[in-house]
Amino acid sequence: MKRLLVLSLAASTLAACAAMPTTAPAGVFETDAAFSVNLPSDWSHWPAQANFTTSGEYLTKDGVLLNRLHFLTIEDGGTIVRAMRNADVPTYDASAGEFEVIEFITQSLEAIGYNSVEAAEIRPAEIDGVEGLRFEVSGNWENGLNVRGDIAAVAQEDALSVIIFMAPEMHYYGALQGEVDTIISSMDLAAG
Amino acid sequence: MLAAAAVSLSACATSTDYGTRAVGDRPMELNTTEASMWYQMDEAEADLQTSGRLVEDARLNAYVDDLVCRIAGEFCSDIRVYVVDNPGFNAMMAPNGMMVINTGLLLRADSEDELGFVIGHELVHYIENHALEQRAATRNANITAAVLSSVVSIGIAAGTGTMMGQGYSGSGGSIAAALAYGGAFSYSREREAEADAMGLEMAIEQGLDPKAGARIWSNLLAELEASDDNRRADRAERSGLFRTHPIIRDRIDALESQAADYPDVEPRVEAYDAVIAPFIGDWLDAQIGMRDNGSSLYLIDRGLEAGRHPGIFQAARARVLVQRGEEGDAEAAMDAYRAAIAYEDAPADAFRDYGDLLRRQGENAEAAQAFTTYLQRAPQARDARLVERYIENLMGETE
Repeated sequence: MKRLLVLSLAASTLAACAAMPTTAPAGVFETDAAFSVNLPSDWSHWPAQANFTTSGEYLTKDGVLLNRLHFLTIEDGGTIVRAMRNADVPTYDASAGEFEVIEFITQSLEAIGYNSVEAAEIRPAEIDGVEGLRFEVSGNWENGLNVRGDIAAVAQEDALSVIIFMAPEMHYYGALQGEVDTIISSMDLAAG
Repeated sequence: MLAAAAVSLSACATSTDYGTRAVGDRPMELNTTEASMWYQMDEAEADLQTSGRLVEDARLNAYVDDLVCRIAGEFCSDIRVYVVDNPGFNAMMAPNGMMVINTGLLLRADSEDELGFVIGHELVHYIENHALEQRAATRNANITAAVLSSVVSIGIAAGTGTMMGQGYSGSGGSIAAALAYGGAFSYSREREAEADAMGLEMAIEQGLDPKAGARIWSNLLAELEASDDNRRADRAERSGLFRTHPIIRDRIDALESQAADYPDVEPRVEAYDAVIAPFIGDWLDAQIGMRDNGSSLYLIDRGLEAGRHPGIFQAARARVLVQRGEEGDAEAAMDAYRAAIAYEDAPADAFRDYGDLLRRQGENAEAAQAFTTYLQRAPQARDARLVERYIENLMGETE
């Protein structure tokens, strides 16, 4: 009986801690990363605890497999991939140049289930007054679905702040690209 | 008690001998183990076809298909070959006729003969029904482990007076399971050795080099020994009850001894190299992306030693050294880039990466020159705008 009581209490505690998606209303959204963004419309927020393959949190309109905006700030030696013990995954090196940052992000995407990820339209970009980088990616999800994405990355004080937008090429990417571009342009690095 | 257990075991055990397959064999009884495995493999094959991981180059696929068909002979019509973009050294043959060949294997094979040996090895698994036989061996091991665990527990209980071996049944059961599964793994090792021997015979029958089998395993052994990844390095000489494959050194010895009975054959290097040459740079990039720098350097140095594609291999060497970042690596990477760009076959990226290294060392004029050469060689480069910005900044700082 005592054991049952302890188990029920533990179950209740766990249920209270369970990470559930919530609404991220239009307006300023304070991310867990070192920046905030301005959302033109409501999104669903998937906290970091709900993501088993990556660090950082997601915003999505239709579910994280259909479209996802991924926010994270990675410290030196950190990863985008939520690594299993002893797993060898791409690691951020604060001394990395832009080309290595691009490779770090594309290889991380490949490590979480995207195939043949190629960067394109790589360009310097001023992000909240800091020189950063923007580029597009294309590839396939592990079921063969063609996907596209937009990425913004800016290095500051040994950490890399990143927004990764990924969606199926058919319909979902084009439907949200404009709004995503507005969100990326609204990155406020001081607010993190 | 043991006699009773033995009777029980013999009653439950399934034969592990499925014999040799006939051309066009498909399981007709849908409630059989084989039908279930075919169904699962058909599903996996359908997934693979739409995964986006297949290399679809017509010339490469035609070459590999042709080699498979030559070695498979009458079984050619049963086999479907898929070249998969995966940097790992591997090939796989499923019981439904799906053969998978990783690009990592194509990168490591030095000749048609070495690839032919691996294809022969995989075909033996198919023709001799090894997947079905291994499944039967594992099933028997499950039954044996269960029965032996009870017997050992009861035996210990009887000897010590404890209730049903309480306190001992765990260790007794573990020993029994170890013995049972050790038998299944040993069975797997025998099948692998059989596939090596018969696969080499199949390749030799098609006029391929008898020494190719020992050579590809020797190269893999050396690569594993050079690996930074302890788990991979351990595979080089690992022995034990639970290995599914024979020790590589033993495989090499067996294949060398088998090859000694045949006259030497000149390995077909050029024809093979001509087919894989357009992909070597990308395959090396994928290998470097695995971050096993020791393994990558071994592969690259072997490529340089062979003397083919020096610009590509030197550029790859530089990339590994930059990635590794140990003391002296930056200078060695600089030397490797200088060596790379002196060759006609240097990839355009080598100029960009060399420029980036120079830029970080404050060699602005040389960096701008290297970036400019990169854009001349790759005017449609996806990072052209970023590189143009670099050149502007470097020129500004130089003036």
